[in-house]
Amino acid sequence: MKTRLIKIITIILVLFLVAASVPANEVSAVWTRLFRRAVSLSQKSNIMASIVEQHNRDMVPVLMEALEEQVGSLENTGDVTVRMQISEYTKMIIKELGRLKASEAAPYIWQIVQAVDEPFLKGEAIIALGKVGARQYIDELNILLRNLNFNLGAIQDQRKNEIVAFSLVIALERLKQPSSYSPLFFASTGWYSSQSGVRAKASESMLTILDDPTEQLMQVTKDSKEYDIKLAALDAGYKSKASDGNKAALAVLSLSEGLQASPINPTEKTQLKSLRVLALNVLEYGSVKPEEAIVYMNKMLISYRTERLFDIDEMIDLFEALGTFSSDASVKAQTEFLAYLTDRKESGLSIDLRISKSSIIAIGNTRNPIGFEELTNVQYSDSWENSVKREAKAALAKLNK
Amino acid sequence: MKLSSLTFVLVAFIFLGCSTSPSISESSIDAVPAVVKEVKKEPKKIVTTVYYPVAVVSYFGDGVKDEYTVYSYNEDGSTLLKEELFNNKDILQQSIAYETGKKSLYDASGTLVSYELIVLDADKNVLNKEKYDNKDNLISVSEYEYKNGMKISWKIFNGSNSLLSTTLYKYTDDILTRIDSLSPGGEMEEYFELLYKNNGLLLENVHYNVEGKVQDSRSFEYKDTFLVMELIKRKNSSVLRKIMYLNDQYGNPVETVFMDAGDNVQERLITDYESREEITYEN
Repeated sequence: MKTRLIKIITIILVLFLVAASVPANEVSAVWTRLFRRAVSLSQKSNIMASIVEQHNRDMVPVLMEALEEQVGSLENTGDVTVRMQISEYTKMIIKELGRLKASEAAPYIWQIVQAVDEPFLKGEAIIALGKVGARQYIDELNILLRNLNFNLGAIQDQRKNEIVAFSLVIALERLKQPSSYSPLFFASTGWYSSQSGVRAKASESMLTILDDPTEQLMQVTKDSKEYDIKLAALDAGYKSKASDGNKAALAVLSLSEGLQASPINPTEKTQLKSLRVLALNVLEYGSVKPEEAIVYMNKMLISYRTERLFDIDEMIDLFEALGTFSSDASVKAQTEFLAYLTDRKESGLSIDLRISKSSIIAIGNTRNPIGFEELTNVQYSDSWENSVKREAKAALAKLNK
Repeated sequence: MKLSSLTFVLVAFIFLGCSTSPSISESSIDAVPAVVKEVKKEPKKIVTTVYYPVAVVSYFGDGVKDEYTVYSYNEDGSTLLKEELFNNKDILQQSIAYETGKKSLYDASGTLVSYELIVLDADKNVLNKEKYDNKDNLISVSEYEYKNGMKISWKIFNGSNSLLSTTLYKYTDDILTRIDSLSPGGEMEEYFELLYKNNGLLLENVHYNVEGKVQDSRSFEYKDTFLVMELIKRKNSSVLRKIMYLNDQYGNPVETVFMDAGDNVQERLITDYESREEITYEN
């Protein structure tokens, strides 16, 4: 048998690797020198295109130099074409500084934000501030967005403001500071058109900059006089990564706010109802069941008894939430309400079947024996419909398990 | 480090088929020698594994993804066709299309921004690069000269064909040791000296001004002959920033970390590679 030995030799082409890794030092140096020698905007722009193409950190000093040079000249040019050229040129520099994450360039980029009014250039500079991690300007950026959220500018500036606001949202998301939560929250509920994407982007950003925004949202809920804002705050808290305990605490606050006010028009009535229903849903689905919530839920039971303040669907939501609160205080409040219903029934007054059945199911769901007596009353009552008695029997079966 | 510098061959496995080599095998210890035949020399088969980057992802210092570049090649991976830059929402930001002798840059909307016409020599060395804007106006021209396959000069001209700069590459025993940058009038403006270790690895690249004073420098550290650290230093030798390379077993830098002097991470690049095998024969 003829045997062939195949020698396998591994050769690491180190020299090739090193050659590939040799920094483009002279390339950076040459372009830097050429830039410094350029006089006209078109010369600078042509050379800058080659500098940007390098995408090399060695170019950061010359990029900063070019940007500093632009700060003074940006708003001083009357000619629209030249202004556009300057704007494009400046954007090219800023974008590259952002891509290079050149933190040392932040002061120059911030100067551009302050100096220019043109929204696309201003926006590019704001986004770049986010990319270079310019946390030293977080307060200023928060204020810029807060002011835009107020929409105090002229109506013809709205599109422009939306462009700047969108950039601010992107930058604040990147800078990830808790202090930005509030301006982002108000941007998410602000005047911005859906086309601008500001509100949607802000809602998304809120989730990423703060895992637990409960503190901020509680402040918003307390401070705001607008019910849609309170509702948005609860919704934001519900969607956040906060603990169930904190979500429940926010829901309790929202429920209390939803019960305090009397609506003065149908819109407010709807908003308040939505606030209460969402709060009840949060309380129902969360794993934490704060006792304080029972106070407000009981308040709803009492208000229903005295004033029929709430719609049936809202009451059903209330019972569904109450069914998950198995404490004695909760079940006592529920049995009192059921006793009230039974009294009315025995007095020959009409009771909505959905209310009575929901109330009975909720007591059964608590599995708390305190509900036994009142459920038994219903089961053996001569006044209740058979379908209600069957619900009471089923609920009793749950208590006995 | 430029992405293009990551591009090519990092490791080669060379399989030498040698029919004349004696081998310690059952057949070689046969007691009775076989009939001796005239041995015909066969060419050596060389299989080279070439690694090429298919994606480079950029992360911010805090680990959040920023942007990424996808490289597309022809079927066998030998020719780069397209380079696409996406943001972290997978939205295209810019693209570069490569054709024979042409490289075109497009913006996010697919509009041509600029293009280069590139002339190569038989060894695929770039001889000439003409850069045009999207209105076909010539912006700049780069001309390169080679001697024995080594680059010896790079000249830049503006769109009016006026010389802007000349760079000369000087070699000692075929190793690049000095780079001179000259003004259009041919006067020295600055220069670089490259120092190597005994094993041929680049140790330092020092940048001098025309008076011979150090402007800045770069030094290189290796582990098992793979580059692992690059230090960029100021003229007083203090470290300005660092670039750390984490290599795979073949020496491909799979992670490149850009840091400031205080080791704060500014950017992290993760590079994915694919490989192909090139087979050649050597007589």
